[in-house]
Amino acid sequence: MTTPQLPKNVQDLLMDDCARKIALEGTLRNQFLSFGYREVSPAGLEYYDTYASGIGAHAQEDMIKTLDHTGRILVLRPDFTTAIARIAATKLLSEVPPLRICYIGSAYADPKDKSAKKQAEFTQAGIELLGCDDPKSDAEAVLLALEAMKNAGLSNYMIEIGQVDFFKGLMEEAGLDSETAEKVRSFVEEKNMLAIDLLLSGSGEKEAVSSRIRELPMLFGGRDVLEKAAKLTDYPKCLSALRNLGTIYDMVCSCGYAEHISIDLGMVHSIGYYTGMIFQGISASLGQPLLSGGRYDELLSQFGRPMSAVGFAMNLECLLEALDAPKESGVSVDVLILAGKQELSRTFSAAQSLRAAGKTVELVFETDEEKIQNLLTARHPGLVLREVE
Amino acid sequence: MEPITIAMAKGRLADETLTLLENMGVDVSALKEKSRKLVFYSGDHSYRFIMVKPSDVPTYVDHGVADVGIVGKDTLMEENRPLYEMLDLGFGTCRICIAGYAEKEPLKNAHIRVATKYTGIASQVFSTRGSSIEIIKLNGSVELGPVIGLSDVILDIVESGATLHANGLSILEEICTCSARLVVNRVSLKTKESQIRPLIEGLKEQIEKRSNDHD
Repeated sequence: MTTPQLPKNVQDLLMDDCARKIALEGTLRNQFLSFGYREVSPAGLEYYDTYASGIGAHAQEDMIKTLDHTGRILVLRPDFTTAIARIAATKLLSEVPPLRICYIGSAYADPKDKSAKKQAEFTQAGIELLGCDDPKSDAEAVLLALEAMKNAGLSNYMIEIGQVDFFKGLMEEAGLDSETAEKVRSFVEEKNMLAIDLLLSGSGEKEAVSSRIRELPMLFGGRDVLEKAAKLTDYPKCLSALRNLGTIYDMVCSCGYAEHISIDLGMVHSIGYYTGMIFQGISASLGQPLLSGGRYDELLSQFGRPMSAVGFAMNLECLLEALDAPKESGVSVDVLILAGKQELSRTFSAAQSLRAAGKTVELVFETDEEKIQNLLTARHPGLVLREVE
Repeated sequence: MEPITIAMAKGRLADETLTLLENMGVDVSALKEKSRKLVFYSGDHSYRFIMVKPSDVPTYVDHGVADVGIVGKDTLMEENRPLYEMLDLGFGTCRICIAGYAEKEPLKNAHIRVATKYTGIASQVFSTRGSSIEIIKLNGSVELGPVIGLSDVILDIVESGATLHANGLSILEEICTCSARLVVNRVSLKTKESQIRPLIEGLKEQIEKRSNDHD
């Protein structure tokens, strides 16, 4: 018989890892709830159409698809933000904005061949703040992300903020249409210069555009980055983006997080629905970002309820990798009760009273002395058996 | 302070890079001795060097186990990973070309068979064109493809063009020019900025100095 295998890029979490993950989820949930966010659990299967077009669209090849019995195409939830926008626009109409919503759950993707973190199934924990366009709400999202990273146990963590309008402005100023600009954006995100050169080789603006795009990766750091960036262009959209970013940056600093926030204008990430500030969370112990988010004011109008919105999602598998795994097992049993030779009613009630006192209690139905000793050394070294009188 | 880790492939790119670092005042003597070790430290332990295969350099940097990598642009294009490409080191120059028998005009075929070891670049280059293609992955002596009838064209790096010429092939199209690049992990650039920025600035200075000397 061949050993049964899992499909590629998914994994089982065994007891210790599972316990770590559940504990982390609890920490994050409490964090979100304490800021007034209320949790929802969206459906895991949705119609393909919801995710195939429009602002929050995912590429067809990135989604995991199946069919229902009528032949309609379904997808395994590729992200939570679109689902929550759909819910807010169709099911929470009586709720008075702003809405604060959070979630923790699995999302699915068909990972690209060449990415450091290949996950077909991953756990996201995140928040969405809907119906508020004040920069203070951007700052709140960033502050909550910072608090979540801190309380999750990260020591060396940082949030970097950027502004998509700076990039969009540069593209407009260069006279690129939105389709070409979107291509350039995704290539800049990948730092794929071949593709940029191939794409722009036909347009007359090549040199000016390319040279600015090449500046972007170095436009990161403290507040001085904004002044440097302002020298690159005098296009109004770019300058207002820089002002917006300065406001948010100053607010987060004034709340006591100056050490953990920086600016990066070279950040142009994600699925096209961002309309303002964007941010991502990094830790020195992981080679890739573990949190990302931003403002997406256009998405909800697609579902018929125009509302400004800001939010973020953390990847829990990345977060767990960045945190040092404790050497000791997180799963433990306090008391073992020898229950092999006794009536179950007696051992069970003894166990129940210990459980009521907060102990974890395991009943041992084995009767053979030697096997009991083996069990004890294999699974619970140092634990003492208890017998019921 | 923790050293920053630089991934590079043994050979010319590494030798040239070490020369630049030496001119910057970095003690790289440990790397000049003949050794089968794969990990080396600079004299003051501010840099750690790991020696890997060229095509693995982007992998190490993407995963963040190396902060910085020195690698040819051709390899970067082929691997196509999300890295920051921060510096053109100016050496290791070559061209990526499509070559074949010019008189057969193979690029006008409706279906083109392409022999190459750069399968990623080939599919990217041809994806924007009308012809459909069949990519035939070869690991060496790619020029044999058209000669022996395995393929219509080849896509490969060309330095002098002597091998092409000796086999009766010519360059049909030049895709781009490649040289050695310094790439940086996306997170390391931020978390180790105080070490990586001076490295980049220092190397940049050396490269400019070198090109001025040539003038």
